[in-house]
Amino acid sequence: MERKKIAAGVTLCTHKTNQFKTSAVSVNIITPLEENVSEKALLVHLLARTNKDCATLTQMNRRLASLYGAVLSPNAMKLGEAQVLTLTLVTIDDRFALKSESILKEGIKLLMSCLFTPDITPEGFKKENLEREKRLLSERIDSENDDKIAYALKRMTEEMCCDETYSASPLGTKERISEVTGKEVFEVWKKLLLTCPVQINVTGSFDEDKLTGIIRPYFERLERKDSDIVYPHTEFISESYGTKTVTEKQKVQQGKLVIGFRAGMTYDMDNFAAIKVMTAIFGSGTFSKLFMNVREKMSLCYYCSARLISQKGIIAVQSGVETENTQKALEAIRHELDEVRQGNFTDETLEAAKLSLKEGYLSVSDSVLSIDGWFTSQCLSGDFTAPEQYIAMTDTVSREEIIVAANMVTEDTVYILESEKEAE
Amino acid sequence: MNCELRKNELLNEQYYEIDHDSGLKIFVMEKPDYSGAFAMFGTKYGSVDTCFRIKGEDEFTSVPEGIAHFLEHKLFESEELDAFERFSKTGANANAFTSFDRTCYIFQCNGNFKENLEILLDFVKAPYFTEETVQKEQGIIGQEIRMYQDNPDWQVLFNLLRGIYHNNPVRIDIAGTIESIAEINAELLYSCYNTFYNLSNMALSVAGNVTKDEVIAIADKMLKKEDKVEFEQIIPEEDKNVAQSCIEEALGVDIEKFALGFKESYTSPVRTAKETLLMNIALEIIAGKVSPLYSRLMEEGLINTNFGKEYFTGRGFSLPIFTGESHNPEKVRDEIIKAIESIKQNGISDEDFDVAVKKLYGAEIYRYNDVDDLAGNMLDAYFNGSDLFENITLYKSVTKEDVEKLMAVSFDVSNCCLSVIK
Repeated sequence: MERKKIAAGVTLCTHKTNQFKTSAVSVNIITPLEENVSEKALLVHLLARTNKDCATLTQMNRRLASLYGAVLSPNAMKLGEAQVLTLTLVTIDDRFALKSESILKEGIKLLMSCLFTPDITPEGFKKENLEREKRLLSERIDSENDDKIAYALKRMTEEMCCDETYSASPLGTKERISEVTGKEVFEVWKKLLLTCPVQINVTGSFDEDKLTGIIRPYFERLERKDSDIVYPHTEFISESYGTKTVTEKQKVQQGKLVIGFRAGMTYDMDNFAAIKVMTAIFGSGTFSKLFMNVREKMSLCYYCSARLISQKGIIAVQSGVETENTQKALEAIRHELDEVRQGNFTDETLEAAKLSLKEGYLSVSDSVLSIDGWFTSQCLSGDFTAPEQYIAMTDTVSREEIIVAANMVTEDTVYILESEKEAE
Repeated sequence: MNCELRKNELLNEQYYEIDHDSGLKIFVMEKPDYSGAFAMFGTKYGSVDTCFRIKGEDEFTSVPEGIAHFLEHKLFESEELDAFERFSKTGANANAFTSFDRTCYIFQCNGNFKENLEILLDFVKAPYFTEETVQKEQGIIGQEIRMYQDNPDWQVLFNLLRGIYHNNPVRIDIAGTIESIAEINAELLYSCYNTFYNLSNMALSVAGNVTKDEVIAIADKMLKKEDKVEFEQIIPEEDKNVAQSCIEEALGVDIEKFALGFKESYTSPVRTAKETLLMNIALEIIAGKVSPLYSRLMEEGLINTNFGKEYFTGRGFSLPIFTGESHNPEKVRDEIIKAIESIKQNGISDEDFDVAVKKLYGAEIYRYNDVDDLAGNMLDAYFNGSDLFENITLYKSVTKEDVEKLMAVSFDVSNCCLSVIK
């Protein structure tokens, strides 16, 4: 895995291998989560759907189909307080082309033309395209709300970070999406190309010089200057000053319980390894305290797990429980965290947590999309850390460091989604 | 023991198919350039297997809905250390799943492969159920059932199956109901286990950084020869027509979900690789992203990016389905039916056929990337009476006339069901 700069604020991350039968290329534009979030979410979808050469959906889809069903997918995601706009292209390798076509090269050209030559008029993005993407994005927001597990986590985050940029959804808001004009998206597009850091990830079999030769000129044509490039900054709140409890009712069969903790971090790698192992002991995996006790011993739930969101210094515990059992589950989860704080976990559990994390790091290199995701997860920092280095960090974590880390964790927000049916 | 090497030159892949002395079928694909390995130990037993007897027994046993899934959960337990605790010492990522027609136990690891395979073969072959542990699981699975009841994508599919089928057990929820799992006891679990977890009804599939000799050595050590258990099943008669043409449920979603299925009538229980490929080509031509239907539905605001189509098939059931989200599912259904009728009437153009085949050929290549897919696909192909490389060779021989013929029988537009979650 390599990372190098190819133009002002443009980095190229590559993993060259013949291990896979496909390649993935992703362009990640790193922007702050606080400005024009809805405009940018619309933009990345507009860019993926049509461009100057393929002006209709059907033309674009025919082009992708001619590249053996290449997939070009847009996404807007939240990474700390950054909104990362991603266009990902996945293609089969040239060696499987039936008529010796250059699938990857053509695919990358298509990707670049989506980014640099959209189908626009002097007034900006065309109305019919904009209206379609507004509808699709609004429906995606609706659809995510219909997934109650995701909805409960989103609501907890909104409540916990209500005074922080992090509460925003990377998809924007339906209200703002409905108002945005083609001209506004156009202006945002121009600004992003000049001032935002861009990371391009390429995984698969390719010729690195040819690859750089295709990509670099697109960026060199722009007047990008290193001094204009700004990386978004994330605010870390290391400690909670008391628990906020929010309860909502909906007509659901199963209630949801989500607890947000401040992890005691002041930046994304602050005491990272110890906190990561501690979180695993607490609630990530079948060996964890939450699984073994809240699920297996108490039979309170099917899922109850903790995960660290290191880019924001938050630990989230998610569970689905009968509404009548909510308090019992909440107390049990708090009790298990106390157990970790007091060092009441076995050496076997500690080893299991480390082994499980290392297993995850070792698996990264076995899939095209997990390698791409690894690159993307690090796009906010100036340098690159390979999975092997995370393994080494994990190995050095001691029992004492885990206990210290657990004692830095403070409960911030409890979000409860109650089943209305049972409350009546 | 018989061991055969199967190769495919186009893909530059090969795997071993082994008839182990124990009676177990074993597949191994050696992938030395991968870091990890994936193993899957599965049985041809799922939620649809609800009424059976071992050959020679007097009575058929009818079991509660959801018992195959319940059994999957319980196998992880043993008298001493449960399977999850054993895997936590090796670092492997272990899990299991139950579908309509199979139950599979899996692990992925980047080290200690032999030890992990020993654990897998050991715990699946060592059932341990008591009334107490059965009761404990009812709470956990009860919550799993509740979770799915709130999942509109899951509900829209199961409502569709209940709308399509009168008696076919595929209409039963895989995890059963809170009431049905309350009837499960240790004795019933042993009865299912002894019928379906016989090695002759199972297969082991491994892909990744391993050798076939390693796998065989562990199988030799862990598996005793088992005599084949022959069983009989009662498969309920199924009417040719759908049970309901429309089925609706209110969950209070922000955007309505729909699933539209066309009932097929086959006398043989499993679709061949060729039948499946032809259907997938047909679905691509009807509703793929380059089809006129897709762009019309998209431009008219009737579907969004969650629109999809699938050949939903397994042992004893098969139906082409279209799924998605819409503010007007009835209109989407009408448009799909119109498109099908138009293709049936006018035939398929050479260009549309070529585009669909090229896309599906590309999709086939993607299935050879990840060790979990490779192991899963070898096992699936075997359980479906095919072999892994059959698909990739079929692309050369299928014709648009084959697809047209299939469409004439499989898409009876008067015999479909629309399921909607509001």
